[in-house]
Amino acid sequence: VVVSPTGGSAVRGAPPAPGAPAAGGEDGSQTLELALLVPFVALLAAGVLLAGLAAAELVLAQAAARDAARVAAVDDDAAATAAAEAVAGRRALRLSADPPAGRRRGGDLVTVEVEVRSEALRRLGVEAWLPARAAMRVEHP
Amino acid sequence: VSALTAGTAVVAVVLALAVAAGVTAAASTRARAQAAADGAALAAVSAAPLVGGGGDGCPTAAAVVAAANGAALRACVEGGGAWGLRAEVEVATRLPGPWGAVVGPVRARAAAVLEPAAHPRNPGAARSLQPMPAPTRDRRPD
Repeated sequence: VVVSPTGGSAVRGAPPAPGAPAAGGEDGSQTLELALLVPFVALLAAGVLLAGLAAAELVLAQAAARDAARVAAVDDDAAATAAAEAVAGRRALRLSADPPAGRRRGGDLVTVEVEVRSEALRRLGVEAWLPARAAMRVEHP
Repeated sequence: VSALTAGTAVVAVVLALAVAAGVTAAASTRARAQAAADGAALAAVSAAPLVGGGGDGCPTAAAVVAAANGAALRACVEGGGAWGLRAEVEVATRLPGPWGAVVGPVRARAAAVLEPAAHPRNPGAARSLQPMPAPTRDRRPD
């Protein structure tokens, strides 16, 4: 038995008297709102995390394009692809160089376009290819 | 769910998406700027022996490569005390759609420095700048 400050008494766990206001009604509403917000906030956090991972992969794609262009300036397309793959790691990538290896002359610009498949999005069932490009000055004739 | 809670949630989503888009754009732009600076500095150095005399690699060749990478050459300083070279570029981009108005233009600056030893006019430098030379380790006999 719990004695209330007003001097009355109530039995813990007893049902409320008929016609009495529900105890803790406002608290219940707040609990319901919190319960509805928790998955929402979790989803939001997951989205921000995913955006961060995608940003990191975008930077990685840019680094792959830069290294590939740097190699393409002095070597052939196979070497450029190898350089890009070294940066991309396990991720699939597509690469194209313009002009192709046989037609590059010293002093020209070689532009390499790379697309790296996002692993972060692939885990969610979304196939996205992150594009990047870089240009360098050809050094060998 | 009260209107206040729903409104707060919507504002939180919009802010989070704007921040995520801004961070993504900033990181990507920064990477592009660094690639452009690297290319500009290398182009300036590799062009130097090809144009003869005082050389026109810095800033002409550097500016061409920077522009090809979507950047603007801000500075190209050659021979700062030796045969070194420093190229600075700036990349400006705008996010697509309404995010461009929310975040505004994203600008990134980057610089690349070539050490004197890599400069072609240095008698000891190689004729061609090799990409990403592997680090050498000084191995001495035990």
